[in-house]
Amino acid sequence: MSTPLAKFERRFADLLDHLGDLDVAALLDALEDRSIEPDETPIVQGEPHDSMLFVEWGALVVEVDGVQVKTLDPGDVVGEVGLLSPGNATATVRAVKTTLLHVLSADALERLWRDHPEVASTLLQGITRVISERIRSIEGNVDLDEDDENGFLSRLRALFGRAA
Amino acid sequence: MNSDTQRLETFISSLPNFISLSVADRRALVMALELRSFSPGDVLIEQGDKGDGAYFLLSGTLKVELVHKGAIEDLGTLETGALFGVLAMVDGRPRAASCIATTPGEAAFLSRSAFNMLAHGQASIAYPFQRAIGAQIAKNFRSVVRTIRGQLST
Repeated sequence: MSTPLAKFERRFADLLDHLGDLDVAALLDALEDRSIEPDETPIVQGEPHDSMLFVEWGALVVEVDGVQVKTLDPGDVVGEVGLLSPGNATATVRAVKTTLLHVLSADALERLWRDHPEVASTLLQGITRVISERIRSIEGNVDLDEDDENGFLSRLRALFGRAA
Repeated sequence: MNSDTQRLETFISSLPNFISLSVADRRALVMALELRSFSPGDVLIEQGDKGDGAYFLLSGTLKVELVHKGAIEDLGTLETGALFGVLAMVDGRPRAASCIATTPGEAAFLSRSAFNMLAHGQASIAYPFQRAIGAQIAKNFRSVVRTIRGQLST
């Protein structure tokens, strides 16, 4: 039977790629579980936020100015930008089903850094890589190059593209 | 310790993400930095060039420009304390934009290879740097989203 640790490792495999079992266990200890109902918004555009959310089960959508730019399924993460640089959220995250999230706050990341520096360092590197790839994905991409509403929306969708 | 080293140490100590560095780690980082002076018009980073490292801006001002469809897009200015050239530091790919001096000043360059050597197996140096790089990338992300939202609303 699969342990919670093994399940978590498998679900978020891309982001946790360079972490060993013990490291993932340390990360799991730093996370807080949060269950939310449909229509709840754990992140609200324009409001302060500093946490990354790991979607364990359920479903959510990401909206910018009321326009849906992404759906989130189990195994996705969201809120990385706020974790790296606490500030006002660039998008709203809304649950569309009852959803279980694992929350990594900026404070928890600092604690992880104090107790397990290698884990915090590797995780940070992974998150930074994911955001860099998204920024790069809209550069020089002719498919996203139209200067009309569709082109701009395509670029926004690419920016919020599927998480690691 | 020469005056350049001392200036760099003082500068690094003033950056919030690097306050927690031990004296030994700070010195190791400073020894890996290369001080570069610039004059107005000097191009520190050129769009499309190989991404070989990142810079700290010690003094002076730079403008950031992107050539897109043959037109120059103004992406803002960089002021003292900025860490720039970070995308290429993360992925080693060509520079996404150009950084051009608008005043005289100084920048400290950290090559990607020097950073990798420093950070290898030494999370105490790697982490503050990753925090600073991550914060800058997050800032870039917010700025791109702001730009696209602005384009959508016009």
